[in-house]
Amino acid sequence: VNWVAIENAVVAEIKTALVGVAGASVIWRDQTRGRPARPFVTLAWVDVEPAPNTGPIDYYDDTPGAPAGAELTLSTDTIAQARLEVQTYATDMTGDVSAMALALRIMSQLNGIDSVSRLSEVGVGLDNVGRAQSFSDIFQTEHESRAVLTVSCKFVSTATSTLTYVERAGIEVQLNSNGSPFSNRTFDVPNP
Amino acid sequence: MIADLGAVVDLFVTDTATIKRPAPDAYDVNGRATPRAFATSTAKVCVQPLSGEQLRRLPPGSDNSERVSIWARTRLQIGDIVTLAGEEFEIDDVEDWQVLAQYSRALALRRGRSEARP
Repeated sequence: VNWVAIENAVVAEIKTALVGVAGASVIWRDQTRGRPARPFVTLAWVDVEPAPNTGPIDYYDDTPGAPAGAELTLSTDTIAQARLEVQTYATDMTGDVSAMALALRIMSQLNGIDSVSRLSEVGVGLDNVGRAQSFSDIFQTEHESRAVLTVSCKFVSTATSTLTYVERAGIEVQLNSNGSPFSNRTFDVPNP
Repeated sequence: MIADLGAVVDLFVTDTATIKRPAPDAYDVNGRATPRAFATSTAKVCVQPLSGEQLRRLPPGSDNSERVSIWARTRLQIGDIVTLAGEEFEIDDVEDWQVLAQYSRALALRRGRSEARP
């Protein structure tokens, strides 16, 4: 997973949703920095977990000519799901630049086929765009328009390790006659 | 100005401190915070322990050994990072008496200590 590419692509989609909203900015949350001027949107991954009922998938790639001892690549794909929390902050409690209106813009953008396509190019599948909820509250001396929208995503995370061919196997054979062993042989393959 | 109490503060100077004042926060096009830039200066300050009243007003759980009261003729601001004897303190509360009496009094919290503990 190229996490940076995923985050950048997500930011680009949210910015596309906010085209036409004067001065709007998109930031990642919890960076111990001051908030930008409103309107703005914050993003945060709130959980990541293996997707249920999609156990890890193992597969081998054989690379003849690779350095001795590393001819095989064992890859394990884990299908993971993550929830992205999108929060919108605005000055206006009503109208086109209220927090709920911004959340609706983002919801519409992410549900569009263009967003789905572009995010899939960096390895993210949009699973579900949830409902937007208002959590407007008093900030300093005035009401602040706020809304939160949770987006579920899926992506594949791959872990790899290198292996080599089996060079020698030991085989032990026990021959029986009428239930009684009468001969034991041990082979090495190939025979040294 | 009613009285130059900054001159009184100068009589009780305990340290020459380095003061780093952060530039406004900024974010790059991908929403990530850009590294903080600072304007650095030095100032003579008077560092004192907190008064009883100030100790009572600390937020619950605060460790008072990590806090100091800083007086200076120089204007101090919330967010300033003051280096005293190699230790950094971040100012989180300021009484600004520059207009009336030409001094600032600030409370500062030692940086990085809590995070270093297990």
